[in-house]
Amino acid sequence: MALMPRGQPRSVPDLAGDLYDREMAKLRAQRRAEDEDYHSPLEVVEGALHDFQDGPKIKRPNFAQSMVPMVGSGWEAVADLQDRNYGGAAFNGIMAVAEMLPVGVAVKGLRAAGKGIGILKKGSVTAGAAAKKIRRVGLAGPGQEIHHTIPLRGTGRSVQDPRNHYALLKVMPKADHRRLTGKWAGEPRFDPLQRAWHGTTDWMKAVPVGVAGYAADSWENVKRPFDHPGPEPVARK
Amino acid sequence: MKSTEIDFKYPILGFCKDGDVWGFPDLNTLTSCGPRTLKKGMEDGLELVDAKQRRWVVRSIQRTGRGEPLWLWILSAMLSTRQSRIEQELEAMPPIPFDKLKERVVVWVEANSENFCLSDEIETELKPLIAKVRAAKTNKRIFDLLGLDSFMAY
Repeated sequence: MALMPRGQPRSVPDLAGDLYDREMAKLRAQRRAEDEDYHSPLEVVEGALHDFQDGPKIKRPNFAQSMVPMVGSGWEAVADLQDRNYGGAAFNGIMAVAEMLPVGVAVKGLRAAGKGIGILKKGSVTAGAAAKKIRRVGLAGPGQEIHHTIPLRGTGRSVQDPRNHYALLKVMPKADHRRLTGKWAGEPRFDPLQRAWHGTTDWMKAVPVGVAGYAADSWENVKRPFDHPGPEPVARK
Repeated sequence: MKSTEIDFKYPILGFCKDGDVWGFPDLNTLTSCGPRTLKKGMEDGLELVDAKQRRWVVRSIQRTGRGEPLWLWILSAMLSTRQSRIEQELEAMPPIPFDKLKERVVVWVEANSENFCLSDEIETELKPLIAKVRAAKTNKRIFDLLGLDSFMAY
């Protein structure tokens, strides 16, 4: 039996190790190829936007179509985006949202109206009477409280007061209600922006946005130059 | 007998079969209601107790017309609850002792505490309110303490 010199490296055939190295090299090559194909979500969106902008042109809405709430503004926003008019796209996008908000309010209002809850309350206009009606028709369930958007500030719940009309009340989860005025269940009090958002009804938020939207739209229509008339028609001889 | 024929002493307190308590400060309120009241028969079996503790039970209701002028009726239909003028057919019952009446009110207040206070205000709001109801000497005091609703909103 041959003896190997002590303290010197020796090469030993390792078939499994060679196979392992080949597999690893293959895996590394595969990963490299995948990395080259990888695109961030932003790049994907950017690519899609470029494809959209370079693709077939969207026809702009005609006058009647542009007057349809949400559809007209939304359509114009998409067309502006395709024309790389990002300012116009943003403006028309905001217009579409502003037009959509009152629709949401109207849907909720109709749902309440269907249950006999209008804007004003008939009969006794106390907080207790309003709460009784709202709970009775099922618009406020367990774990929900009725928030006065105009605070009662010490006025009793059994006192007749216009702040108890339905339009000024909001049904909300107990935790949200309590966090309007202080800490609740380990959660901090809402910040002023959150208080304004949670502490007001949908119509209180939608009306100013809607009014501002329509005012901006009107202003843009006033500022927009009139279309130039076409060439004079040729008189018949 | 008809509700319009009786010389009630107001306010009247009303007790539904389900224990719900209502209040009527005058004849107009007693004989007005919204569409749901008629549709769902909400006044069927209603017990009326006037300020002299005289008692009647509603046997039937008849709609006699609009409960408000046409312009107001249209406005109410859009913004609030349109009113019908009604007339109740009543049957006289034995008077109810005032203490018993107050206990019926207290039972209702306790069962519907969420209409009178928040869940953590039982000690500070509800219990003092109940004590005031128990100490009340008149229907009017109970009516004012609880701000009782009528069927005009229903």
